[in-house]
Amino acid sequence: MTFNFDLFFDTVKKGVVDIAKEEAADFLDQAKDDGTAFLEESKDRLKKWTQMLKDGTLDKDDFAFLIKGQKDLAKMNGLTQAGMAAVRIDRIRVAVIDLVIKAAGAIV
Amino acid sequence: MSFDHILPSLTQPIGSHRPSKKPPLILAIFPILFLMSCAVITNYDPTSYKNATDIKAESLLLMDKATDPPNTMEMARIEDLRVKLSQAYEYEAGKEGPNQITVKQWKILNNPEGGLLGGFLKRWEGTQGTGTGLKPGFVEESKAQVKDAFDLIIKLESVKVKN
Repeated sequence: MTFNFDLFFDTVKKGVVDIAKEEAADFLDQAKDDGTAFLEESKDRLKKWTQMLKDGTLDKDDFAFLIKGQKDLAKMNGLTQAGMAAVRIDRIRVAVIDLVIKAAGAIV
Repeated sequence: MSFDHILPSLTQPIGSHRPSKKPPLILAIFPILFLMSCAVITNYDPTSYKNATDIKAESLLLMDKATDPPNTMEMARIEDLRVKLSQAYEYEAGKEGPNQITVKQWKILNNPEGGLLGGFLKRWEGTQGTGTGLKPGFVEESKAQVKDAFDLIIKLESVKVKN
């Protein structure tokens, strides 16, 4: 019995494409939802604080501080999104290692 | 994730009975495994998760007190919280492996010149001796932002690959 390298590599290649497609599709949906949710929340907060400034619940320094806080939150949100993309890559990595080992194990 | 459907029989003979001149299997899979062995982000760490959740709870409770200037006990609690925030930051910064994202997040959260927890604590301390704390409406809104900030750190940690 001879080890079929061509079939092994074709199998791994197809498996990698399938894994990447699945993870990428999930990530894009999630990133879009998260991004939209953050923008909507920021808009709502800004409206609320503007009203609170008008009615004296906040002063100018409070308002400026909250704006600064929301900018910092935007940075942190971006970092979480970047981190989640990195986690997806790691999941792909682990899945591919598993695929290669299984593919090799099937013929050893 | 199951790959059985994409693993056809790999033991099909390829026809010829000539002695194989192809390299050993290890030379086929080793480069793939080597290239894939480097993580791009650290794995899930239960200590990181616990640090974030514990410090979040303590921070939000302490922020509630900020409608009055901090008394002696509250000043001590502010300092204690700062130590914990610093320890959490150093723990993340000291990890082996790619952890820059979480380190940056803690830095933004802790920054005394920023608009999140570090800046809030500094603002609160600044009310000492004024007779008036921070406005209740401001405290509520800032608390909501700090809660979101912690939730972003916690969310990222919770989705990381677990060993």
